[in-house]
Amino acid sequence: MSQIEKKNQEFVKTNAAALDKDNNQEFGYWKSLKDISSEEDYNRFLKQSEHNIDNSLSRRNFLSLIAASVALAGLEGCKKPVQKIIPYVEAEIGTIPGIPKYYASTLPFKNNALGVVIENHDERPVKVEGNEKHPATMGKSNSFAQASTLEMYDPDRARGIKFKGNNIDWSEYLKFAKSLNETDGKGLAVLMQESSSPTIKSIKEDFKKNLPNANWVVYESINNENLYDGIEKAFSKKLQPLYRLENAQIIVSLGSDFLGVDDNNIYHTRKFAQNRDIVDENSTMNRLYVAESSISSTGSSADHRLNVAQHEMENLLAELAYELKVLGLPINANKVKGPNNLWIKAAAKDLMSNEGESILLGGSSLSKEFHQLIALINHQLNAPVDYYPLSLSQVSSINDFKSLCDDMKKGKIENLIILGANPVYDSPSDFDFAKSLSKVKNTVHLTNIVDETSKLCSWNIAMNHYFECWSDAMTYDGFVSVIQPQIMPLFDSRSPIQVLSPIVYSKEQSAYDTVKSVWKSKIIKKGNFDRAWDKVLHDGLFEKPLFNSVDVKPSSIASTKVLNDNFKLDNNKFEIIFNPSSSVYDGRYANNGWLQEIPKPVTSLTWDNAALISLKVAKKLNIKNGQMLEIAVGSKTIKIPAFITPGQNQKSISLELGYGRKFEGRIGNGVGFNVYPLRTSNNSCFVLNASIKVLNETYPLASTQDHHGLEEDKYAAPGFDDLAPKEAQSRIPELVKQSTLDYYQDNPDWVQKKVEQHKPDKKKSWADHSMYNPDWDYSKGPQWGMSIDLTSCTSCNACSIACQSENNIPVVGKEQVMKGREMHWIRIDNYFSGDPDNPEVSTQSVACVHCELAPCETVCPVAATTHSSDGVNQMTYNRCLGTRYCANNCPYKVRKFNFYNYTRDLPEVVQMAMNPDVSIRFRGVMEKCTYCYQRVSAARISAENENREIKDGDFQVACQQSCPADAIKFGDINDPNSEVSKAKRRNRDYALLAHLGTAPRTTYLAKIRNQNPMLVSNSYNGGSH
Amino acid sequence: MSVKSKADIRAEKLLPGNQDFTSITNDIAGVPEQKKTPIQWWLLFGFALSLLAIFVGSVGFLIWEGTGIWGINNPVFWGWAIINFVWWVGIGHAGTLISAILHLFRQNWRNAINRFAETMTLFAVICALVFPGIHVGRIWVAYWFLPLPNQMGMWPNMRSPLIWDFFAVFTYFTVSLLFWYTGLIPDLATLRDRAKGLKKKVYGFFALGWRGGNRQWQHYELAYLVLAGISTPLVLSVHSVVSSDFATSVIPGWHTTIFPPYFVAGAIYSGFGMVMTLSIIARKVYNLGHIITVEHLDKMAQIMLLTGCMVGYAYSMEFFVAWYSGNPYESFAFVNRALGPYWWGYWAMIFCNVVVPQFFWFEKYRRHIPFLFITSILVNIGMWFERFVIVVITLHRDFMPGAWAMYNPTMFDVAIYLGTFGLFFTGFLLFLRFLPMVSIAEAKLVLPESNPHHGHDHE
Repeated sequence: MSQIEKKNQEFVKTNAAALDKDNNQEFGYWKSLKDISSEEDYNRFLKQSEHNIDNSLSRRNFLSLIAASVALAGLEGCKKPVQKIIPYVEAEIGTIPGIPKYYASTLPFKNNALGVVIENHDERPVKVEGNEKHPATMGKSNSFAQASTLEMYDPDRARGIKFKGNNIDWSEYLKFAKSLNETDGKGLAVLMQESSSPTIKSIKEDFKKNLPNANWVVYESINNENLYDGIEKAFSKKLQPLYRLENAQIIVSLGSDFLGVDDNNIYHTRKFAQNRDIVDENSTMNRLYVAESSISSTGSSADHRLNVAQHEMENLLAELAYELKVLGLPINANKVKGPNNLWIKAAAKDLMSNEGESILLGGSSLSKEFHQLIALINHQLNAPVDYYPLSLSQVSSINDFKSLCDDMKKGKIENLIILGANPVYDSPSDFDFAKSLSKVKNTVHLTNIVDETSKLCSWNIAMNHYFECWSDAMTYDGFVSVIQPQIMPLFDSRSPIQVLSPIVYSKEQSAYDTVKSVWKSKIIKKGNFDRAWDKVLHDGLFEKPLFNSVDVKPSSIASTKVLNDNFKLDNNKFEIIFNPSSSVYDGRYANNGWLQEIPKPVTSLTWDNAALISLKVAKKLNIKNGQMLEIAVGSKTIKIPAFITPGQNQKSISLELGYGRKFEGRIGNGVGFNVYPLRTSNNSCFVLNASIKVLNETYPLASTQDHHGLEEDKYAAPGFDDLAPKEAQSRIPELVKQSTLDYYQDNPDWVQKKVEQHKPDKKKSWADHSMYNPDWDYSKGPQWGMSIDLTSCTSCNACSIACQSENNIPVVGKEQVMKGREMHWIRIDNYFSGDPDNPEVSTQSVACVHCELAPCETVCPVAATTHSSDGVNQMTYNRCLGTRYCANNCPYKVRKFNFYNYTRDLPEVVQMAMNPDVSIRFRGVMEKCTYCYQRVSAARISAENENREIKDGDFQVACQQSCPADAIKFGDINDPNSEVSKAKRRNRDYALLAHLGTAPRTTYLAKIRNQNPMLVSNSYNGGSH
Repeated sequence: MSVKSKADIRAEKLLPGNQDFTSITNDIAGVPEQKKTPIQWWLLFGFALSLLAIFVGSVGFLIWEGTGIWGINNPVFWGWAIINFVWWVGIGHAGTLISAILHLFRQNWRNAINRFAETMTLFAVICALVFPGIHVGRIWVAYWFLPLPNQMGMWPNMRSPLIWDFFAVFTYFTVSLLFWYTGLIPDLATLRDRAKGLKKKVYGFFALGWRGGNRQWQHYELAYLVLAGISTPLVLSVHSVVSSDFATSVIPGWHTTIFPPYFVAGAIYSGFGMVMTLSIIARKVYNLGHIITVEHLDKMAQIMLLTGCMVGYAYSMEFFVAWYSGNPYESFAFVNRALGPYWWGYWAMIFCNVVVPQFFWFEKYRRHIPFLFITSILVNIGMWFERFVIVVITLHRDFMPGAWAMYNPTMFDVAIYLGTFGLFFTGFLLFLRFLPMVSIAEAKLVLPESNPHHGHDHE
């Protein structure tokens, strides 16, 4: 990093954009920089200060260098208007060092927009939160959004412009790009990922106009093309469906992981959870049926899960359609003989009897015929689905991509501009993109990291992170939001707009001007543009959608004839399912340590993908966890370790995409196993008739949880391999209290009864039975507490990464995870019980529960962990000497120890991702959840400054803020009107291991499953003990 | 012919052959006075030093890198370091018991082994004290254990059993050192009187001007008695306090009231095991079979039988209480010890600590020296496993199955444990080389000459 870049980081970046939330005034400090805002001025200025760069700086020189760099900030980089940039020496009036500022922006994810608010500390973005005004996030976020901070400060990001491996000036590229503009576009192609940016769309239109013979191709390896095609078949229009789950009482998902890795998961989870917020026994809740072949977040949240192979999903739909026909829905369906009769019947009956409030969802990569039928059934059910035009976003098209590859192979393409995508790694293996690429003369790759594709391209241009550039994005329902830069580009990077504009317009356009002009002409058409624009920058989005939902009319009647039931699985062969990774998605987050280390939902695997196989298959073929398998599909083979997973279909093996990358990322290079070679254009969802060979080698897999309740206790005394699973299962009803809705309605106080059950003296509280003496009066002042609703939690991991980002939790690496030393303050426990093929899943997120009578506090020899007067169990890091006694004595095992100095070799750039409000812990020190005490303190200080009491909603803790299910409530438990008090007054409230008398401040709301009486299994309802 | 008095019979058993004051002095003092150090000593010393080098090296690396070099993890935050600490402290117990309690009970058979045992105590406690220092995450601030006045007004947390532990073990060490040294004074004077040159000066300095006068003996006996009185409760208190590290916690398997007596019994058991091991080696190497006799070994075996049965009782009582309490967490903690992944550790403990000492019901085995030697080592292996069972097996599966994990020690766990043997034996061999390994003055007490009643027994 050059000195200038370093200095840049320290500078204030502000823009009119970021109107301070409470302060809508005009700013008067821009003018001072106009003096040096031209390029010549800047160069002159830079020369003057050049001699200072490598020498120690006097204060005076330092200031002039700042001024020069500030000008640089304005002229280069992301082309923010120069007058919007100020150095700290001329801070905005009212700027208080150390007080963070929040700017609205947007995380573009495929053809969706996730509105975010970014927390800036001294003008350094360190934390992402959802934007409450944004319809796709509603103030919430997911793990990808949370981890995008670390992506920004990835030291391995591409830097500058390279031509055939050599650094080259940007002007050289401009020359090249302008030369392309002079042609009619013949032999030119642009390949990009999905996008919903109106600006890019508008550039595309100009591109088509100015270069009529050029090609513009959109390809995304994980896409919804079949869904859109199915809807087109059903309604003769390509439309984007938006599932209004808040209006759905019955949700039937056939292979859709809508709460997990499927697109728009924040929106889905938020709306889904709204109908699971049970206040008391009179509340209603939705019911979720999930049919899937490998257990997902969605499946583990289901009230009724059906284990069905992916290739049988169409049969299942046909059967469901038949049942719906029987129940009176006008469907042309024949009876299909299937084994899943009861589940189908129950689901169909529920769908029908809740017409208008029931919905059917399908796995996005299943066939178009499948989606056609689903769309038609939904239409006939009057399901709460809104359809929006798709014409303004750019979605993946496999045919376009295929013809591009063909053209490339034939040598018809001379110039190929790849924007962000990594097709060499993730395109269908039958296209052999790498080979096609070698036939192209000039290849430009705009990339955030030097990856598989970059290595084969002649031009490599570093791409901006969304923290660094101007752009925009649009939600499915047409709300356009702006992406505004938070910081100067760290690594001399460019945005797609900068790369495209010289090709399209023969001149380089600043991203800011381009975005603004598109907004002026296409989005904010009425009224005072500047005023509206300022509001957009403040709010993050334009208040009016670009379009409304469209009415759909079926072009055909729902018929199971459209379905293909030709799938035949040979004996002893398997179907292979390709799933997006919940950690690295399609591979794009492979270099993100937070995401690599987060335990995946259900399997708790970190740092690897594996072939998920069912217990029965493992027993039959004598496969152990970590045993290498050779999976062959046709002529292609891959090797990958096996991981035995409950709920996995016996006929299928699930593979996660996105691993086994070979690129210049120190975190993700070579992590896991690349499964793309098995994935072809015709089989992007699953492939049949794969054969597996069990190899005689094992591979170490790092799972953070050994005991889920269904695994064998492999080291136990001979003959006792069910010791741990049996015990774990018997504890589930105690730890994750759960019942069916019916049982709860009949026994509203069952949770309380359970808690009281073994109490020796019913007149006393459990805390009074504690061996530790309650010696503090907690009845005064704010007393912090938390409530976690297990009914709505989907174990999506957003909280865990939000916590990691907020609290500077180190990434420790696979080896340390295998030793059991992962540092996440929030761990998500997954327990399975019942049938290993279709287990009942109980998940529970566990962090420090802040016991009022904390076992950790009494045992610390040096009083490093103590209680605050507001009821928080606190760690004094610099007093801790690391006896680890506190952690031993913690019944919840939530304390994490720095066995090594995990942050010692943290690159300087990554240090910028750290939250300055939270200390970095040295080795030998214990740490754990603090209830985000830095946020508590900040809120208390501002309340004190305003001479008032701190009130509910003044602040949120990081996990609570991120939780898309809104399952976490936090606040003052002494305030009877606070959200947390209300939650804790619910009769489902219980404390974990209450009988120990620790009086935890974090309590849980029991899990309620809304089971259909037709399908009820009896294992819930409090269980044993 | 006069009938032999009981004292004579006892003396004959404990000091067979025709021994008198002179021969005893010559035999015992002769060892440190040897002109040429025996080659066996050098071999053993070289071996001990190389273990010590391993110790220094691995502790150095530990300080440099952090406790991550060990196998500890979440949830097993304590591993071999704490096991070794408790093990070494336990071994130390026999010394004090032999010196103090048996002295108070006038069990003169102890006189042949008490010096040995006390020295063993000292070095064992030193080995033990190493661990609380090095097992912490930030070794450079380990002095915060001490109640040192400071500008922050921060004191140690007196509610923490680790602080009690720290004080208990230090007190124990201090008293043991004083006791050992007090007992040495007459012998140091003997050595001084027999030595020349520099040796005479050094021994003389430490002999504190001992002349063996009546008044000196009177004061000496009183001081020794008082120290024995002070030490006696310590025998019981130290390991009780150590056990409270576990017993005061909330973790099932630790949170048991049986721990203090059971720990003390176990400590004495292991201590006698170690004394047995060492004395069998020493009497062989230095040909002291006539001073440390089979009779002594028999008596020690009897104590091991007693304490072995006590720990055996404790093991079964733990299971009974776990079952009787009806507490499922408690029950599982114990079932998991016997049948869980570390079942071999539990059964190794049961075999060594409960099964093996049962042979001591038979005199034949109590007097069979190779058998005793093997047994004494098994006892200490068993007691190491007992601490392994308590520390590791308890922690690896406690309340929340989601946090359960396996524990695997690393080479550094092993290296530091082996290294403490280097520390122990280096010290012990130096003691053997320079100081009388048997108390010369006290060994003579069992001779008929020491008995003022001459054939008229008290009893």
